[in-house]
Amino acid sequence: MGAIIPIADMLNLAEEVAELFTLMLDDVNLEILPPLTIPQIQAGRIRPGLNSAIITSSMVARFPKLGIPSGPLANGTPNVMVAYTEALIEEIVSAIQDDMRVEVAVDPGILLQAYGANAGGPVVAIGATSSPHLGIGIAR
Amino acid sequence: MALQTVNLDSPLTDAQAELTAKLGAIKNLLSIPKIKFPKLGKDKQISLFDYIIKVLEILGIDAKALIESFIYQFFDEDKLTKNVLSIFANMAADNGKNLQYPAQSSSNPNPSQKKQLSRDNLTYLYNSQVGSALKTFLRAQKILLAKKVIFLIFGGDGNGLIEDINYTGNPPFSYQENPDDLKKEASCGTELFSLTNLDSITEISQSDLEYNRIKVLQNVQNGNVEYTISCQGVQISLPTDPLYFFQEGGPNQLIAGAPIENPGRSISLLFNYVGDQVQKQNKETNANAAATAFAKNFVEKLIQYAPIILRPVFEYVFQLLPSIGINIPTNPSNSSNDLGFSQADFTSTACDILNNPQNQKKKDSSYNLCNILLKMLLNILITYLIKEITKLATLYITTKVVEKMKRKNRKIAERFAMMEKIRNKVINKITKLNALLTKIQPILDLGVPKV
Repeated sequence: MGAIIPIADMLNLAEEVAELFTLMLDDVNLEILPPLTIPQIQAGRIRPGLNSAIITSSMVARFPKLGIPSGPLANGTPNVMVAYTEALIEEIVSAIQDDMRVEVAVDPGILLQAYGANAGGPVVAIGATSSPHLGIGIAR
Repeated sequence: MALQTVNLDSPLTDAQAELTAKLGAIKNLLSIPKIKFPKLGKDKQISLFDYIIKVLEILGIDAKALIESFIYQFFDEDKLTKNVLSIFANMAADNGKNLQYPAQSSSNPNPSQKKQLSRDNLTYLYNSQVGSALKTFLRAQKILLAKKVIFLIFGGDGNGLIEDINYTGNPPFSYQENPDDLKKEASCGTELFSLTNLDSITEISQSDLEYNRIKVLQNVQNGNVEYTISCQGVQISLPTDPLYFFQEGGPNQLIAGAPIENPGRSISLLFNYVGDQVQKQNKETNANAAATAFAKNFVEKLIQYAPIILRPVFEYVFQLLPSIGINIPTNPSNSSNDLGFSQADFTSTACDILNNPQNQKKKDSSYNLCNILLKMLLNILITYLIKEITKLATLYITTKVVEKMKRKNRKIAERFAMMEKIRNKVINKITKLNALLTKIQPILDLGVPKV
């Protein structure tokens, strides 16, 4: 059925309303993590590193809450979901540990003191780095 | 459906199976059809009303309550007065007419001048005796307006809902309506305006137009509204005593109940009635969904039929305008016309408009009224939706963050518990070692041999 009287242009805003609601929901994805302190970062030394077996078992432990069976299925068929999860995690962890490259940029301004001596006697130099320094890291 | 069992006697080696898996995956990924969302012009897109209803359904929110809120506002005499006077104000402003100071009218106002003029005109009309007299008139007529809408939807003989109407008012005003004329208007009215973006009338053939008109007229004359629910046709007609919608007490009362003052409440009773009818003819589980579907239909009909049911109100306003010095000669092009439009064009019937679809002047008043009402409806729906989506987003963040923190804390506790276990093991070992050493110390500690 046609309509002789059209809807006013200022009320044809389905696109704009959809964009508005999408923007409101996009905020949900912003997870603002608080910055770590230097001691917290230094304490990273005692972190055990990624372990695919531990990650896999943590994920499989959540299956019951999600309604996913974690053992063999009722008719005896192997549960490929667990095998799939294991394969997925192993590949991701392997890629992170073997292929991933962490590139670091250190801000200038690191204080340094150098001690030495020359014919004239002891020399002390005090200063700070004047340009950013690039570094490489490996994720474990 | 049983899962395919893994074939343990595969003739392929590890490398061969890996290659076939990778090639199969690549082929599969390339063959997945890419969904392309077309770029649609505004006139071809889903309408905002339909889109909001879709979003509400996804959120599991019943739109019936929001629609009832709109209906309550529609029949509120103050809001209805403003809406009716807005049409006059807007149309006068489009013609550059200043209703309070006619001498200040301009012939070609720009959009911002039109907007300001529209506001000034509305304020003037609303605060004048036109506004107060109209409010009083609407307070008295609003129940009748609701009865007319229900009659236009269900038709038939109305089962006593509506008879020949003779409107009167102060200053002296007389206007007559009869049910048969209203029924003819109903069949034209369904093609006047839609809450859905459909193709314009020029793209539908004349024969389709006639078929639609006849089908609707048949439905309205037979007194039935037919819905298809779960592939079953369900016919809903008015009860034998539809006046109970407008009285307290419910159906089948021996003594009529006190009249209901608020038409919105009567319409809510109508929605419940439709749900009950579906429950009797179809299934109990479909009753609520049917009531909601009827509510959506009803609100579209209310806006479509608004120009029909409010025509006596427009005539009354035209009667009132000269009392505040607004001059309305018959010929709108007459320079002494303070409105810039004629009463005849403003109060065109729906069938009149349908028979002259290219005549913009006849459509103007209906265009303004239908879009003003649609704006009011969308305002209610969008305001509610913004609140709900904000609540949903906040709930999602807090729930997910809390769950994540719980899992992190549990992992840290497990890690420290493990380290505590190792520490205790080491301490136990050292303690045992010390105890053993103490026992065998005399043997280990030889010193000087004693004879």
